[in-house]
Amino acid sequence: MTAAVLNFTAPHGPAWLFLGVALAMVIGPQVATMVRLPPIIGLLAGGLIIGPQVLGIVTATDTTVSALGQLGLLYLMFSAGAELDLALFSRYRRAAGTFGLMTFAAPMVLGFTAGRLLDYSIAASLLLGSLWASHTLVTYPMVRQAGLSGNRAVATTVGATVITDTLSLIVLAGVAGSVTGESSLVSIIASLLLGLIGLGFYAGWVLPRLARWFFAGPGHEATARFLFLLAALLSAAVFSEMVGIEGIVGAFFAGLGLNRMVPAGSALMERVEFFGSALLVPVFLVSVGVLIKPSVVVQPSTLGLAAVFCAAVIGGKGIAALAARPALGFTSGESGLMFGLSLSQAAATLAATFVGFDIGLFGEQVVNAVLVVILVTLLIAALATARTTERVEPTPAEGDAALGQKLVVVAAREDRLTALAALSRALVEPDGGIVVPLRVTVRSSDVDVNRDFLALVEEVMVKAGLEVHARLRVDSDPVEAAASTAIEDGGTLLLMDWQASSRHQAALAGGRDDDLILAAPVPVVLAALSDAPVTRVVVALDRCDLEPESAADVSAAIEVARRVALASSTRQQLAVGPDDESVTELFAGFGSEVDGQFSNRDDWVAHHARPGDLVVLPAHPDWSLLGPVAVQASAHADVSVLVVADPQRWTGRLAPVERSLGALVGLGGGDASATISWD
Amino acid sequence: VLALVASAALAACGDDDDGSGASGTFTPRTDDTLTVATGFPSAGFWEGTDVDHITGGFEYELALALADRFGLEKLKVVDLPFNKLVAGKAEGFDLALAQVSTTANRAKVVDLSESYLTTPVGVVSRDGLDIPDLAKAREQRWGMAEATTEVDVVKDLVRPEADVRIYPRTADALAGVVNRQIDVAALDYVRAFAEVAERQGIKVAAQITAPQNYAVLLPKGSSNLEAVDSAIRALKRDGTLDDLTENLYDQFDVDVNEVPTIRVTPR
Repeated sequence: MTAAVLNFTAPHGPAWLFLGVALAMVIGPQVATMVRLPPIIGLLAGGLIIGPQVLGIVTATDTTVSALGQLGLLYLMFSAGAELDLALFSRYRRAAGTFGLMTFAAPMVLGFTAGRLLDYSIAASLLLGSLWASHTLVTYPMVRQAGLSGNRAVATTVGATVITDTLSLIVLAGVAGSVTGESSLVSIIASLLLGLIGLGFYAGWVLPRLARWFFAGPGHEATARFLFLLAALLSAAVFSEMVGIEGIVGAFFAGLGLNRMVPAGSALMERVEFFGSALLVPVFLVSVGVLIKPSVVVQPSTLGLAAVFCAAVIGGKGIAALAARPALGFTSGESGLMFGLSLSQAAATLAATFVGFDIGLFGEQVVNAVLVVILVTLLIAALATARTTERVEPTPAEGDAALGQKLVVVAAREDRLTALAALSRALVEPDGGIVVPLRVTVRSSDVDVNRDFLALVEEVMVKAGLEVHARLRVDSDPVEAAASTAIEDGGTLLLMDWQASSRHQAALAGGRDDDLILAAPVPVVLAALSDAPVTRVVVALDRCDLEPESAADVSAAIEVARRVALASSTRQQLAVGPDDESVTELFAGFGSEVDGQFSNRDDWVAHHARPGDLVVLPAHPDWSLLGPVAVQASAHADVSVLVVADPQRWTGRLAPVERSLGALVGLGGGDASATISWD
Repeated sequence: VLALVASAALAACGDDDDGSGASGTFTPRTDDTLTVATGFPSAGFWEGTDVDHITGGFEYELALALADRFGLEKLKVVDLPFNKLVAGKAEGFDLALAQVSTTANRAKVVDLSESYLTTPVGVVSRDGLDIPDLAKAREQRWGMAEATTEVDVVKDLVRPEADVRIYPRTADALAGVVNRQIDVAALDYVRAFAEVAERQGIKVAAQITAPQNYAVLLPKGSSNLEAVDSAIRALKRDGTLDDLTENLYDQFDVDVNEVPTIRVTPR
């Protein structure tokens, strides 16, 4: 009666379907976490429950969840490429490359052999091997929590992921191409190689340039940038399919190509991660869960398959980790840690399995067996990682964070913003870093004026194609505020607009006559920039720079010069310094195409600097050795000057340094037009 | 390294053998022969004079592709009543290709594979009567053959103002349109084009967005289901099914995108 009055009907339609999916995504991971299983298991189980085998909210013939899952799969592979730490891979490329090949090859061979023993076709066996050759760093958060993210073994394994994932996807592309194509072997190989070259060109050359143009032009808003990335990954997937390669390979390559355009910790990366982790990737996992058939999973033949697969993946990853110990000089604990990190099979394996299923190479029994293997490897990896983290001493990574990962910029003059943005871009681009424009005001009444100026800085930086996260601070001590910002935001370099003249506009208005370099936790660049485009980058050293204590400043200066030269159009590089063997060695780090010139620095600056030069000078605690020449250099028309300091050497040594150094960095005088006393 | 890995993978695949366990194994009831059941003939799907003289058709080509995929040399076609097939009461075949739409009730008595063709529901009206939208569709007098999936689609999703009329066969429903007993008939989309081509005074007036998924029918509990599912997925991915579908519609010389669409919400 009541039902008749209410006109009650059973739940149905798209809203019911999406409600089922949403509930699976909300509840699945929570329940899994409660029983100490990885959330991915909860999502797969959620898919099973709403699928045709249990509740039937998603039917066997449903195309909606399946299509969304396909989008999620592409997004997952894009994220995998975009989030890979290429800087880490680059820093540990030898060890990461070696271990990557080892941890790819061992499970690949074992998986392939297992497939052949099971009478699978060669194509299916190859794909099976590649499933276990890749890995997903599911247990990395445990390692990070244990303070081991800087450990060499961890960095090596993270870097190796670039190798394993790429090679696995290449195998997938080859196998899928051979299965779905009808051409001769030679033409398939030629077509695949050409396809990969075309895809590499599109994802590695075209997309980054398009992104740079878009970010600097119409794509100012974060939403527009995110949508651009979505379109870019889909375009790469479509391009990939057009050249006969699986779409997920294109999506992965797009992620790699745009890796530096989506800096870690940036607002854009946060959006990429949010949409991925909140919606698209879970939808993919739920859509895979829909395929699970408990009746198939519990069959002895399926469990037997899973056992064989487990032996291949655990054996292969174990062999690689053991071999890495003598080959790369790791301890037994580190070797165990590498095993725990590289064992987990999740995203990449699921993606390739899904494609194998989709092209008819794998049946439901293999898919269900793979799901069992994923569960087993996740559990064993978690156990192995937990045990081995206790046996490894936390050690710092070799080298510091990349110089251009997060650049804190203190701008002072509106007419220098464009030049400052270009310099910022040159400094952060090699690391795919982000820029934090900083404005400090000592009076709260000036907040509005400073906010307007900061907005202008942000606008110019964004137009330069930079990822920007501006900060406005009210602080009675601008120096401390700048240093604190660098610490709180994880800054890696501090760049200050500076006017190298006897009278200058302070970059940080107000404050004390103090020393920013002394307070700064990161290298500092003081930039007196001209409007002229840079046509030549000059590193100029004085004999005082050859003192051992100056090594850090010189090294930082050369790195800054190298980056600017890399970004400028002419790339003409000149190194000036005293006639000394050590100078030649120092300049080798500047670049291979550098012209060397033995000359007295001050003489060279006085007589040979020309318009279009950007002169890079290492800072020196004794300002009398640096200040006059810096002023003289910038006094030339259209010559820019950078003074670079690495605070490592300054700490504890700078007490007697003149107050003028504080003025030099634009902090002195207590007002906006301080006088520099060294002139 | 990339080129080496890709070339090695492909070279290995090039010498591939018939090992196919990963995608399921197909075991025919007669050695080297795929025995396919259908209701013969069926315009667009099975063309020819009898099962021994087949000239073409979507499902015939699909049967050949499946036999090839399973490594079977011969194809044998048997003519069996549709009602018996979907009721799970027919025997003597490996699989059936008979435009069987997937329904929950059918899945209880037979095994149904992944879908190989998805079509909307076709709407046939007399010449001069346009059905541009759902509102207009609801005003019409509807008819269709009994026990077809179209009955549920019209009753549940179109929900006409007048009671629907059920005919014993689709041909009777079409005759009802011609005789003006009803205004429109709902039937299989592809068949609608075939029937309109052979009759005067009627046209395909619309398509209803209620997807009908055609699946391969196998005897309940068949061990061949996994292999058939894998084969259907493979034929989708390599473009075979797209080509067959294109040919299917091409023969009617109609742009299916120009047929008015009645949008309904799936339940």
